[in-house]
Amino acid sequence: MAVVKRSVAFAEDIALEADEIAGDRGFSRLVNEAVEQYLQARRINRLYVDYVSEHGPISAALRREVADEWAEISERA
Amino acid sequence: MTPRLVLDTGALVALERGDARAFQQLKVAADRGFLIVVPTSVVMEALSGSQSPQRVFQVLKAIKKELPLEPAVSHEVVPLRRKAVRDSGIETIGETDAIVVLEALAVPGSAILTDDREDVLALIAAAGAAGRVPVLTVSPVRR
Repeated sequence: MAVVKRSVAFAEDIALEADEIAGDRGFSRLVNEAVEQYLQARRINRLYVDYVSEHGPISAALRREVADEWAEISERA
Repeated sequence: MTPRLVLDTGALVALERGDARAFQQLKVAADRGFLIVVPTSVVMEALSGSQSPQRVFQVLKAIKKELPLEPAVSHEVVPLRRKAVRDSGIETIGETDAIVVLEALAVPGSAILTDDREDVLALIAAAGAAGRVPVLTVSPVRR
């Protein structure tokens, strides 16, 4: 995949914490992954909004069911 | 690495058909910082039985993360499927479901979204990872 370089300034504390997490994998890869997930989340949220516009809001009961499934994951983690 | 939510064919078909539970799962995953991914074989299967390919492409455009089949995964598919079928007795377990499980196991903290929890759990158990990969569900899909 082609890559482009960007010069980005970070607050020092953020950069230091990110360096620690990135480790051997490298700072660029960490930032790439974080931005990729952020951009995808924005697209998914737009998709969700379009879905609700077309089909109406998702019922509270169903939202609760899904939340319960995810809560089980959090408890196990 | 960012934890993944790996979609199986049933999950992608459910999204194509406008299943509310599938859309809610997708949104919660994105809000929780999961990267949603779709193996290419899942895309092929979903398109092969698709009633509305445009809908599938609309969902894929939002996800924008298809995983090509790498040798590290493809070499493990057949033995994993065989073991899962042998251990569970579930003959319907497919190669694509095995790919989904292997892709989830590749990144710690990942989860799977499926319409067929039983098959996926059998594969996870066959991989020696019972209880390690959360399995989330969409509404059952009739194909």
